[in-house]
Amino acid sequence: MKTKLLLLLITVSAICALLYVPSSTTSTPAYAASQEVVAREATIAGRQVGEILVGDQIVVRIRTSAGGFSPYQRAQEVAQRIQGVTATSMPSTIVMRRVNGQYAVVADGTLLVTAGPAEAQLNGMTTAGLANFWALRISSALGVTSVDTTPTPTSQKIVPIISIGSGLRVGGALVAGASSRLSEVVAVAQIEGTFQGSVRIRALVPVSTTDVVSNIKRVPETAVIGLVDIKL
Amino acid sequence: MTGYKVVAIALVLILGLTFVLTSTASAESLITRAIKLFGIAYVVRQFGPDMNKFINKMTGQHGVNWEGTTKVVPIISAGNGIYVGAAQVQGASDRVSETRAVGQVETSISGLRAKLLVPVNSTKIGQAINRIPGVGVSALLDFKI
Repeated sequence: MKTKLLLLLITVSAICALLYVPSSTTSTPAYAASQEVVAREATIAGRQVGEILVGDQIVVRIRTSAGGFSPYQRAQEVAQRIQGVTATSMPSTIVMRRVNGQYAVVADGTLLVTAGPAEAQLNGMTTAGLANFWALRISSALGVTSVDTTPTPTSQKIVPIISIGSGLRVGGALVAGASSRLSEVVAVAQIEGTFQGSVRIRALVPVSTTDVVSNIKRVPETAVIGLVDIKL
Repeated sequence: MTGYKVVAIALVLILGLTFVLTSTASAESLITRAIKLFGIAYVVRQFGPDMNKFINKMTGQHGVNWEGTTKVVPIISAGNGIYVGAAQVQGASDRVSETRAVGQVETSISGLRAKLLVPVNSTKIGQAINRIPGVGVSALLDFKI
């Protein structure tokens, strides 16, 4: 009788043990980076390039050297950065942003790669376009959103229009753009020309200096949105 | 009989246009004559790409290169829908390709007379027109008439 009772107790305990689900199995499993990120060297049209791959997909191709680093070395650095931001968890966003005046790809605030002018020119794109393209490629390969929901603050201001030929102030212009950039604009340079003798052209360039005769420096991300006439 | 009349009118029109366009007595350029005959919209449609290249070359000579795309479109007065000139617009490629015209709105800013130049997606004033964000005016074109 005692043996039967003991057997019944053991059986019930075994069934209970099997049915028991430990709480640890319901928690989130440990994160494992789903895609391998590597850099490799390649030659395209006789030019050495560095490629960054997520899985088997090329997400960034670096064609220029910078800061004493070859394209491949730069690719290795970028691959390490991507590995770094995906090592413990997947970033919530990978977007194009301006970092120190240059367009770059940023993952949750961490810089991944900067799109320089030479790189953009070789790709036949603008720096902003290239950074955006890279951001889309990387985010798509990692399955991360690339929608930047941070609005860029914009503003407007009136500045004088200065003729490039004479250096004279010939009117006023209403300029608009990103607030961070607009503060740099001090004037609009007017470059004049004539098309086929019958069309007078006035190119209007927001610039960061009033000395437009010797030094014309355009302020990107700003444009003229109106003209102001001053009654004499 | 009606058919002869149509042919006759067409012939007169063709001969008249040919005479006006090829007249050597006048010092007017082809563009000026085309504006007088067909209007600014036609001239912008026909010569816009060449004008755009010319402006980009002109600014490039001064070391000013725009990022993105540029295009020449007509300027339309928002009050009466009249074509009053043309402008080169610049911005992201997809936004610039959407831009059909620049709407000119006269207003007053801090007591000064101002003309706002608004890139829009239609040339038909009075119908639903939307401003194209992220596109700015990079050059103005004045036609001699």
